[in-house]
Amino acid sequence: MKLFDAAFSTLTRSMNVRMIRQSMLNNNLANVDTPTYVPQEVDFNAAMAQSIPEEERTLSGTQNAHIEDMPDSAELLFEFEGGYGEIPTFYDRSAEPSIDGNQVDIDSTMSHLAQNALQYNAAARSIAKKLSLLKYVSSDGSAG
Amino acid sequence: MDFLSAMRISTSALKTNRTRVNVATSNLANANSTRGVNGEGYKRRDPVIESIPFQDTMDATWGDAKPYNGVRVSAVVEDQGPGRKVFDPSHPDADSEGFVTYPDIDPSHEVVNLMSASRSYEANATAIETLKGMAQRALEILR
Repeated sequence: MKLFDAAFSTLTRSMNVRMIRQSMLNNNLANVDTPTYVPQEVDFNAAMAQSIPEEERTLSGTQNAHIEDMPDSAELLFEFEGGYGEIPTFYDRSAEPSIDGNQVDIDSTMSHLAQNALQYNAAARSIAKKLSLLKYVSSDGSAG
Repeated sequence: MDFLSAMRISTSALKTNRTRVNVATSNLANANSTRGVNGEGYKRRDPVIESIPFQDTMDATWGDAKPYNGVRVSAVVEDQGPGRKVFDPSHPDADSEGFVTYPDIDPSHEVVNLMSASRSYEANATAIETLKGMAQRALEILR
């Protein structure tokens, strides 16, 4: 087990992707009155799947009871310096277009914004928690 | 895409909607103006709203949809119609046949625009609040 394990880079990647999704949702909201505008979305699952090599997406062992070490964070495709990599995006045409051809559904956009922000906050919290665990052990288990 | 670009996008929407409110209130205020700038009568104005195209500044490759950078009012166009003619020969701006030309402004139309712009403004202000909450959480990692 490394000090900064795979969960760290997964959480970081998830925060990055969530931030990009938040920008896109903000943009959809900004264009709620732009004629013929079609909203854009980030495919979150696909974006996350790309950060981890396929063979390393699950913990696997010869026996179900064996749990192998997670891959070192440096082995993950996503690296901190590597920028954002590929972000799978698509046009969301699920809503009925209005009379000027705009397809932004303001209600679902607002609820997606709130959801996405919550999940971003959850990831930020998890990172903070993991860091505070490291802080705890590095201070010999004292209050530190 | 960081906090600031998301913030910029929402700010562009705030600016756009403020312009829409300005144009609508200007139309409302001038519904009975017979003189505008350069001697002609006031003409109804309409904002043209467009998305700001994306400039590729990030080292990301995008899927089907390339992101936009917000929204802007690309032009404010004047109504080219003949206007609303009212017969009033005693009016100082009446033409040779006694008709006064008023701008073709429908107050209910302008008020609907006003409400739509103000709702959009609120929605985008909420988005900025949400974003601030996210930034706060991210900074708390450092604590």
